[in-house]
Amino acid sequence: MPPLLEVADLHMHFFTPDGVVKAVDGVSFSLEPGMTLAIVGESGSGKSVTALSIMRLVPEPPGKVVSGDIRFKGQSILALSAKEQRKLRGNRIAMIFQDPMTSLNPVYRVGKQIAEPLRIHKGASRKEAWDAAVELLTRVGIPRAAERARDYPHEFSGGMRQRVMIAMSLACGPDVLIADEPTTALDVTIQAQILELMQEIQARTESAIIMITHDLGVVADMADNVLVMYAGKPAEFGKASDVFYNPLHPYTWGLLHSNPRHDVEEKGKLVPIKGAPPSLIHLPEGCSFHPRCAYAREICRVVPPPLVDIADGHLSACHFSHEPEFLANAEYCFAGGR
Amino acid sequence: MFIGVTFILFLVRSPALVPGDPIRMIAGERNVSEAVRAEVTKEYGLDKPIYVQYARYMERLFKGDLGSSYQLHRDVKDILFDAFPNTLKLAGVAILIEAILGIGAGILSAVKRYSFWDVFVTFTTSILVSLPVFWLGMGLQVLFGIKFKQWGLPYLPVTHMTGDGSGFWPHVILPAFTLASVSMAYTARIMRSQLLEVQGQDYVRTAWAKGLTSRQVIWNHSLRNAMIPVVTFLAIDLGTMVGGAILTETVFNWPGVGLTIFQAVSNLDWPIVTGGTLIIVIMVMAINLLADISYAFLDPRIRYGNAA
Amino acid sequence: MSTDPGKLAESAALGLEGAAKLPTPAHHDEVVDKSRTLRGDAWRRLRKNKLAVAGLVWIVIIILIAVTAGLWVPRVLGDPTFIDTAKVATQSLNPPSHAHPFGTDTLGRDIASRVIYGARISLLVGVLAVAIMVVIGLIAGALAAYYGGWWDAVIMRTADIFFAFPWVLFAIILIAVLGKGFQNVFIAIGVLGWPSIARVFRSSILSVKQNEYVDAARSMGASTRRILFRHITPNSVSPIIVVATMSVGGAILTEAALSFLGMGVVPPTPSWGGMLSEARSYLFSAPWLMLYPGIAILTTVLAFVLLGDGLRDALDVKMKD
Repeated sequence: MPPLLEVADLHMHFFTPDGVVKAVDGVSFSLEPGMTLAIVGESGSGKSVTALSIMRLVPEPPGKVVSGDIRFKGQSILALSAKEQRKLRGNRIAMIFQDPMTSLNPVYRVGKQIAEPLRIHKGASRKEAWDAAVELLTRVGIPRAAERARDYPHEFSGGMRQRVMIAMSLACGPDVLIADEPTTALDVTIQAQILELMQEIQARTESAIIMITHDLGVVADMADNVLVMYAGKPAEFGKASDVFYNPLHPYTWGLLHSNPRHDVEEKGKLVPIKGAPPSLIHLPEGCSFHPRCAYAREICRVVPPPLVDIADGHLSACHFSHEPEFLANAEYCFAGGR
Repeated sequence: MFIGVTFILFLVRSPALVPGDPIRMIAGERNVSEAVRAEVTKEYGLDKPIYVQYARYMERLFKGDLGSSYQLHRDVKDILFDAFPNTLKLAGVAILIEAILGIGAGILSAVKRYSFWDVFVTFTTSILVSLPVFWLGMGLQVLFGIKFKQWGLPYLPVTHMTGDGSGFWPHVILPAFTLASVSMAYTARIMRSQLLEVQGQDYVRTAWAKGLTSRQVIWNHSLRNAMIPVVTFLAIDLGTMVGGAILTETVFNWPGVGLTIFQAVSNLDWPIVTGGTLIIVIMVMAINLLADISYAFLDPRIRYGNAA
Repeated sequence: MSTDPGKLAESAALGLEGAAKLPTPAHHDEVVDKSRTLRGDAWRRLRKNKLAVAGLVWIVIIILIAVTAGLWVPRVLGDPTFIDTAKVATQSLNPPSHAHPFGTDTLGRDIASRVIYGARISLLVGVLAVAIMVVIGLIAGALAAYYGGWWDAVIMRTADIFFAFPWVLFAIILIAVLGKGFQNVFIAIGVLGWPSIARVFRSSILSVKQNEYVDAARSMGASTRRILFRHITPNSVSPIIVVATMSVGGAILTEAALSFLGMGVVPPTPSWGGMLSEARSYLFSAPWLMLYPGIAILTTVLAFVLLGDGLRDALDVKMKD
């Protein structure tokens, strides 16, 4: 039984007048129903582009899939015609975006926008689609759904708008839901509600979720697997518990270390990762992370580290992840840390 | 506001400010004897102080009487009633041309950005904006009216001549096109920039993500939003055209409101000027009000005010 | 997306793409330094825009020709206003020739020289009218923005009226009242054109006023007036320059229109619009009467429009294309 969604060594580059931007450089993962994968990284790490590539929403030109494949239920999406790709989009694979304020069309009623994918993909009549939209609104927790469906986006608060977006993405009952920083633009309290909602939906529909975020708190809550990306390449991949308790890559250490944690007794210092993400056109030689890595050695400057399976499905792209002494450098561990 | 405008207009018309002796004009430019002068003054109420004259004017205004022309000895109302439909017809056709060509060009240049068409449209609009309208009118007259005739091609009449049997449309094409020309450029520019701006918006990306066809995305989402300011602009432009067609009307001898008022100004025939301007002011305000309403109708955010 | 149709129409009237984007600095200290580097940056960007440069070059050329005209034109081409009655019969309505590169008009005058002298008028009117516009506009905009409330409402409403209205009509009436002649032309144009400047100035003041760093500066003890002055000026100079440049083009067109209708500059002073009016009766028989003044208007206004476009792109700090 092939995986529900499989990304196999995807390389997506942008060919710009200033140079080739290697936005996604060798990313692989697979998804099964009911699973949540979190993709974590700084801005520019390639997480959004990966998602857009799956949705086939990357403009080509200037983008191009240089190598690799994306397979849905065993069949390559890249090989499909544009028409067939369109049929998957919003239908079997759906996406919600970061800013609900601007992601909804201000001139249409909310009900109509939710109903739209149903009318297109399932051929539903206007009434059928509208009724379904109202039901979806109820399901995502919007009270008085029948009335509210007739409202316009600007009449909703931020959290409500995101619920509407979720309702819209669920309309056709997708197998995969991609969420690009769905809670970043929202208040903290609302964030929790939205995440809860998504988990609830997932439990009910068995859909797979790809959660793109830079917030490790979100990851800890929801993710089964975590993919840490840096400069377009995978830095670390594994089960969420593995990545959190036994992080293998210095970048992951940096991420964990620079995030405030509530549940550790002693207040350690928040240490930001020094430096800035590199330009994706002019990547550093060797390991892309080495200019910012406190533990970089000679080999790091020359040889790009391969993504290696260190322990039973826990992968890391660092030359030294297999050395226990090196791992002791992780100044911060989730449980029993300093 | 309305009162302000009428007052200013009235002041302008009063003999105190304005050159030309209305009495002589009314009586027909001959030397006027004292008796006749007295009589005319009485009839027109010119001897009363200004505010009284103003009051009388407003009073008659509400009854629909705009006074009568000094020169032409007809009621201003009638004169304007004759002229108005002509201007409306001209402006109407012009707006149509402007809308079709302007919106079309704008969409074309936005959708095919950086292509030949885009450059062509940008180039043409820049020129149109810098072009004196009347020069264009004259040029068109020469080209389509005279040269074409010379070359044996079907030609278009160059002035508003009645009675030559060819009917309304051939006569109106050239002047309407001239009138529309500059506005067309603006329409195209607005359409283009709005469309480009909208296409970069997040909700368009959402539309793509929902799996809509490109036609659906452009038609239902991009255009629908981008058109709003364009439609409003067209509405306002209609108002401007009604009042400002004077240049085109002069070139093509089109007996519309603009031409009438202009001739009145040249002849110092103030009642026409006052009355005509008043009508135009009212029309423009009404049209602008309509434009505002239409905007609210098209954009729900304005309609209900901005909720959180 | 701008949702104010009035503003949009105005921007369109000025040929600006979309709503005028005001260069609002990202944070406080940039504002003070920007006024020094902004010019350098902007100049560089402007130079890259070939159309704008072409416009600028053309304007300079025309200015040079116009300013020096008195020195060489009457000798080389013939006096623009002097009618040599002896030669009228043979000289009038001659097509372009070696002696008269643009031909002669109905009274035997050399058209080229009239066109050049007409440039003087047009440029003068343009500049003076815009000067008036700017003065009135700055005052109005400042009053409206600074005092807000009732002042703001009244001034802006008045601006709206002026704006939505057929200016030709107003101009004609104004001139009929004031009398024809050179002075009144630019006064009339200037008086009618202030809303565009006022609007731009007002919104730049408002954007500064509402900007957070004004509060920050105020909390440091700076007086309101000082803040506004220091922060507004660099901010607002750019859009006003752009609007003013475009307005010169508009003013030239208006002057031509008024002269065409006989309400502008009085003959025998040469004016492009007036020459076009004379050309009307001879459209067929002597097309050169119409051609050259029209081309002169077109190219000059176009130059200003292109320059204005270029300035707007060069000065817009936020634009990254």
